[in-house]
Amino acid sequence: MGHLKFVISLIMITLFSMALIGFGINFARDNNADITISEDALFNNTKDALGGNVTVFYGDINTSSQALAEATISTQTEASEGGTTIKVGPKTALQTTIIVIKNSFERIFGSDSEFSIFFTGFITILSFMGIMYIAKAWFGRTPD
Amino acid sequence: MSKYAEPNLTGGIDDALVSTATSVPAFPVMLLFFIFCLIMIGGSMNQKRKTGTADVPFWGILASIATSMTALLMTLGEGMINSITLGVVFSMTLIFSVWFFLSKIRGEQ
Repeated sequence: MGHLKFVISLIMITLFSMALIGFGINFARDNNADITISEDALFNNTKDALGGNVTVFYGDINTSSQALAEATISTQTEASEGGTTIKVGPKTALQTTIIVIKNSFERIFGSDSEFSIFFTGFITILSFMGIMYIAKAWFGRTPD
Repeated sequence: MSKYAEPNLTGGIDDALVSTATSVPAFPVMLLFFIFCLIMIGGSMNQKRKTGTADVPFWGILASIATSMTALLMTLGEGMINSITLGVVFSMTLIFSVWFFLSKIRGEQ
């Protein structure tokens, strides 16, 4: 397992979700379908939220990579003092995956509190993995 | 005496499918479930027989994508599928995609 692979997996989930929902909407529009996925407000909100979060992720990575490129390391300073790039990646990418999982669970199981425990447990595990990867990568070990 | 209205084939196969779906509301759902299980179980069992291991997340997302495409085709005509079923199919595809991409963290198998 690795820090990079974890973040890339989360981003791929986001991109796949956006592609699938976009394909469904465009298929219905091109063929004048009677039933369209765009009628479902949940999927419309999911697509908009994912697009917004990807834009935020792009901005965060751009900013932190710019700061990293301009940073200097003196002989007495330890490397990756701030670790912004390491920390911002999983945190932002996890938000997009949470949106996908939350809305999918809500569509299948409804909004009942009995089923929300599965969502809560799964998100907790993903957050724990992200935190451990950040700690592992930030404390000087090579993220892979 | 028949328990349901028999489909009228003179109007074409699409009318017959729509009338069947109207008479038996679970028909489109069962058809989609059949397609999903056929691809997922058949593919994973075949892979297990040939290679010894089955990549279940891969076959799950493959089956769910095929089911989604079939569900989209059903939306072209009114009466075959409703928006709730379509939403559930798409949600299943998204959940299987989460499982698939997170399973690849361990590396290619």
